[in-house]
Amino acid sequence: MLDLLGVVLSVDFVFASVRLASPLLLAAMGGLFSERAGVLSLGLEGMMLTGTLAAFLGSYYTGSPWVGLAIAMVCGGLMSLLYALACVTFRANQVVAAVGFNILALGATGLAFRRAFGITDKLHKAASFQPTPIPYLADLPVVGPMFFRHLPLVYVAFLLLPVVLFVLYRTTWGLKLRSVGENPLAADTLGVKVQAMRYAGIVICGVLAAAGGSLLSIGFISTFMEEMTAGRGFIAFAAIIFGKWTPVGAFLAALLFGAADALQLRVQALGINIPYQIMLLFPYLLTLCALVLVGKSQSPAALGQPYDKT
Amino acid sequence: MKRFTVIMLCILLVATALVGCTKKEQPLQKKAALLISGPANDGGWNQLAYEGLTTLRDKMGFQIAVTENVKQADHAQLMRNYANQGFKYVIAHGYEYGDALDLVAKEFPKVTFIQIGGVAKNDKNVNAVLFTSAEAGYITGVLAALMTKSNKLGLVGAVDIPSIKADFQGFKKAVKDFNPAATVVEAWTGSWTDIAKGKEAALAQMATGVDVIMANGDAANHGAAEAVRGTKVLYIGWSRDQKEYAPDSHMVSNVQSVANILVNLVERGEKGDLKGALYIMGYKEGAQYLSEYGAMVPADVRAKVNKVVEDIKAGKITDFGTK
Amino acid sequence: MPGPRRPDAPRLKLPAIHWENLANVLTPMAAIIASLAVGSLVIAMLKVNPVVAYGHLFRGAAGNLGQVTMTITNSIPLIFAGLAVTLAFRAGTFNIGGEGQLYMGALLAVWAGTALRLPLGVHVLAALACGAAGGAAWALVPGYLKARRGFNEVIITILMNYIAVWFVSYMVHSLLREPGWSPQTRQVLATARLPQLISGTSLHAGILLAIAAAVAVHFLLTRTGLGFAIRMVGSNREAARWAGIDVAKVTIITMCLSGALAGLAGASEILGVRFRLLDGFSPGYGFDAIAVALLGRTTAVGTIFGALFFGALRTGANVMQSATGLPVVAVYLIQGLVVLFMIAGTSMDVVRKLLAKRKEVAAGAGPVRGGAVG
Repeated sequence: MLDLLGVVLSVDFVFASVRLASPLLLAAMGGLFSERAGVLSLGLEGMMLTGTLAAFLGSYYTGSPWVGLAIAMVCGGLMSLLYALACVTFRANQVVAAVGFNILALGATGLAFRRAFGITDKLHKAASFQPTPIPYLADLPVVGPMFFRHLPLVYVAFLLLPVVLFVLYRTTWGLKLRSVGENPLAADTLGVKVQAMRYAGIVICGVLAAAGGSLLSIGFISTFMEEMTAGRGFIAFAAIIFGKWTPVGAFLAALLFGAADALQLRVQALGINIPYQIMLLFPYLLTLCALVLVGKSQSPAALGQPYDKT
Repeated sequence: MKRFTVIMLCILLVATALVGCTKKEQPLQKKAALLISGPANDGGWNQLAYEGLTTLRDKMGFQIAVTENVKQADHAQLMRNYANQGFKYVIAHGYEYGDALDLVAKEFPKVTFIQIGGVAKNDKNVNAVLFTSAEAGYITGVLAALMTKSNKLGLVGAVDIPSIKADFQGFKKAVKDFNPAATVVEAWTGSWTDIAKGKEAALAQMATGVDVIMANGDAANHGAAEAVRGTKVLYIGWSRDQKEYAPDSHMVSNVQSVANILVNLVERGEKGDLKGALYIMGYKEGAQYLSEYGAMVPADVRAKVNKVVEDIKAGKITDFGTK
Repeated sequence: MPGPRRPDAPRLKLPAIHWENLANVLTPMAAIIASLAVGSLVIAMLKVNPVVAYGHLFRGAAGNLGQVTMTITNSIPLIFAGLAVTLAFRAGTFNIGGEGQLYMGALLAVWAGTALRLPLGVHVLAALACGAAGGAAWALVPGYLKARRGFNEVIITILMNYIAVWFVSYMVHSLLREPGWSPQTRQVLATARLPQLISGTSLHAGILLAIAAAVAVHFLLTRTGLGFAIRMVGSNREAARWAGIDVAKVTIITMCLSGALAGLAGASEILGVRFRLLDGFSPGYGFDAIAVALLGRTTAVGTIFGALFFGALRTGANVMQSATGLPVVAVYLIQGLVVLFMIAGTSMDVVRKLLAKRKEVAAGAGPVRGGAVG
């Protein structure tokens, strides 16, 4: 028990929690834009996977992780247009669209990777982001190594919170976006372009999710494997729900899931073996319990409903 | 009424299709087929098998075919397909194919089936091959036990399957035999594809002072190697020579050669000498071997490990802690 | 989705009905053709002749007795799971928890098949019943939470999917694990297995059960009071409440029935094909089922055809791969495209909408709910 306390209080644990949370954070912050505009962000997994591969290929061929990131964000945005087309223009059931979209992304990334490299015994490595300590802050005791010696994209993930808060709650655009998710009919009568706002929400979601995905293939890791996102898109989706569709809530939920992961790996490293299956279902069980115990949370009122202008 | 007609039409269609096709069994040819449960470019378990298959093509002149990402429901029918097309050898790569092999092998007594990583032998035409994972775990464990300075060793596994379990048991036994003061911790990521988690698992161990890590399982290997790269922590690879994964930390890899196994078995088969047995293959048979040592492994340690390898080959060490 | 079916008034013998049925067939056909066309471009980019590839795909799906039976066998769990989606959908509930429910169904079926000792015939029925019960129990939670406490069932069922998959994996590796080399459960006893229909093939009696289930769902929806209530709730909850229907109760019952169907998908696969449970039991039947129901325009009969198509695609893909070297993921691409084209097709289905409106005016029925499902 004392060991465990030691782990939780350690610098390394906080450092790892921040690291593990950041791809979830990027995806969840993106997902919020889509959800608050009234479109379920179940396509997150496919968008992340797209970003993972695009970033890898971009960085592999150009040698620059920044170019890789840019390509990933562009590809994530383009790919999400497909999801937007189905959900918004064709007013499809969003769950159905997400199922189709995710499997399409799986197929497309698998084929593209195979097309690029075939089956060889060579290890394909791309240039990846390197940790960038922040001057002065990184030298602070305790706090420095916890928070200020990360990859650049990790800082971005954390700085997104104030940006998202500002955009969603302090700008007219954010108000419009939220109104579209709450009451599209009313928004429409006030002159808000419902369809355009939803497109925007989904594309931002795709761009940020792809950035989160790139953190895997050219951030912590410098290689690609089919399905290497391993369900992180769905965990980000759960984080949004757990966080009651608020930026702060989703932020804390993503942190919690990241910390839970960091903790379970450290518990294993102490020689205590919890079956990994239990640890893998933990974020979902926690979210479910939180939902049921805390009661019905306020999702955007028009979430999941296609808006038919006619 | 209309629906009824549609249903009847459909049944009729299926019935004609059924009658229309007849089962043709082609004579056996010099062809070998492989079934794997994941992609052939995974850089690990499945790719090993794929490379083994291409060796049969390149060295023995076999015509080859592979089916990737095979789902459990399709096991039996895929084997039947290949058997019907005159494939002389059907290779199933994994423990999960056991039931289908039991079933299909009876229907095609002339076809030779080979299972790698399982125990589905039938004394007739199903041959099962197991790697001696425990023995390899033992050998790498000896190296780790001798090389550690902190006396803390880490194991990172992907999914809890028998071969990885046996590997870890052998590793722990060796540590007990050669460095009883050292402790071993193990971590499981629960995924074949989650490289990031493999890396985090290794980092978590390193944070507690672990200075030698052995990983087993595709993404676990990639991840653990990424974790040790650029640190002083030493790495032991698995399944192929993983020197390029972490050049400065890589001490050695336990190389598993599916190619050697397949060549060995198929040569026997061509001589009519393959009778449906369980083959347990390891260092003695050349199915596993150590890659080149990294420069950091001193000569006396190499000698000790090599001695253990020789003793195992000679049958002098048999207890790998799995009983 | 074909929108709310017509109210229970006697069927109008108008050409519109005929057109509607035709649209039900034509839209999926067009979506399939379009996706194969786009798929062929991708295949060509991979330097394989698309015509040859599709030839192998077709041969693989229906080239001989073994392949045809395999296609049918592969579609059995998809029929059950597709029906689960269809039924819930007709009550206005989106059950995307099929994956979790079928895992729980498989778990309980394998438990009943290995632990119980019952005579031939009784045993298999008991195991199927256990499977259905497992699925129903897993669906009861989201059903209750939606009906009584107003939760969004999509979110609850997604969360429960993951919990079920990992829980079953844990059971396979611990309590239910067979002693020996492999992490798997024991095989279900011979008394608990579904009989084989054609020897030397994998086709089992589950297909008869699946068709029976489709007929039952069709009958339930069109000929029973409960079915009427389900459709009423599905088309307009408020109106249903005013009409004196206990909306919450109907929702819970439908969800349980839907879960039972998904549970049967898992159980029939265990008792008819696998006989035991391993990690990674389902290649995503629960999610494919959503596409299947979409392709079948959320009708019971349509679901059978949707399932056959997906079964054929998967079965044929294996042969296509071994013959041409195209990776199986190519088929994921085609599957995804089918869904997206189906969505586009349903949405742009102007003809049927116009006809439906005209009919509505003629019949003086209530408003048809706008928007398309797919």
